[in-house]
Amino acid sequence: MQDELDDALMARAGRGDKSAFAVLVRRHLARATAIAQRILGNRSDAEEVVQEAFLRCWQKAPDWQPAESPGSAAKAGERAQFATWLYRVLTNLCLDRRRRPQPVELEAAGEIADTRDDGFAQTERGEVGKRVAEAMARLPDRQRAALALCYYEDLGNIEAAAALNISIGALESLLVRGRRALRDSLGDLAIDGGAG
Amino acid sequence: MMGLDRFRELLDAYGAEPRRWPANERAMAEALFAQNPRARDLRAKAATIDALLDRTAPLAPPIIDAEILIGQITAMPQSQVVAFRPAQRPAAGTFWLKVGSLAAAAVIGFLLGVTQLANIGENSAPTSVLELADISPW
Repeated sequence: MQDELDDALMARAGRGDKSAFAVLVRRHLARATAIAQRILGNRSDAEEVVQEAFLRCWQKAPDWQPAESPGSAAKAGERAQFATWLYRVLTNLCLDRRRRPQPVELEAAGEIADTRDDGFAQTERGEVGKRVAEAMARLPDRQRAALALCYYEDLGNIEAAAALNISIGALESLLVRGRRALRDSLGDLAIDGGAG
Repeated sequence: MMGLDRFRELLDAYGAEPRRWPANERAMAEALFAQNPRARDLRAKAATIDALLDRTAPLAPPIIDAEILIGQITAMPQSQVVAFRPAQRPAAGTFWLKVGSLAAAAVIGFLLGVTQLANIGENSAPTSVLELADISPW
């Protein structure tokens, strides 16, 4: 079952097969959590959103249309339809949550940091990392989501555009504007050799 | 063959790493990069922004437990249970039972209301007057 394709597992989950659903969760949990954490900027919100996304998977499973069914959007060479659908649900949930009031936005961005590092070099790296995280947090939500999907989680452009429900041209526009904004706000780090 | 303009667009959007370039353009972009010194300069500039992005703080390790999550979610009903349950029309008996219950509740409510009003009229008013008299400076 571990090698079974997502869509086949989803079809089985739709028939109430909990073990098939479990394989799907284990397969996608880490990446889904990372995407949500990149978009939302903090772990607790990200984990809530991921749980909601997987709950929707389970509830949607009985109605699931396998990739080869008529009307399916999946094409040869693309990642399985399930992953595209999951990342779209997840991204929408993240963007919806970001539209709510954000009273402690930048403080939350600091939660991204893994504080297990110590030592001066690690502290310096942590400071730079925090600045980058804060610059990411200041990006418009959809630009940050595009970077999270394409840059940090290495989704292909077709899949990332589908997750954001936009064209590839619009995705590229978001990415360009996001990278440009980061370059403008973090340019001193690159000049100081931070980009080396 | 890819032009330099499109190559620049790819770098601006996806960065300097070929693995992030669109699959259908990657080979052409790599060919241009191999042949054109200007393309190599552009890629080097894009790499500086990649390096900044790579310096972001690492993600905090997730504390979500997959097995607990699976257990909680699969304990929930699936949409099939709701969506495909045949819609059931209420039987005629059920309908009149609901109407009867509603009417009975209305009558009981009315009687309770009347009784409470009567009690207020008999007991509360004199007490209130006395209490008001006690605290009144006049």
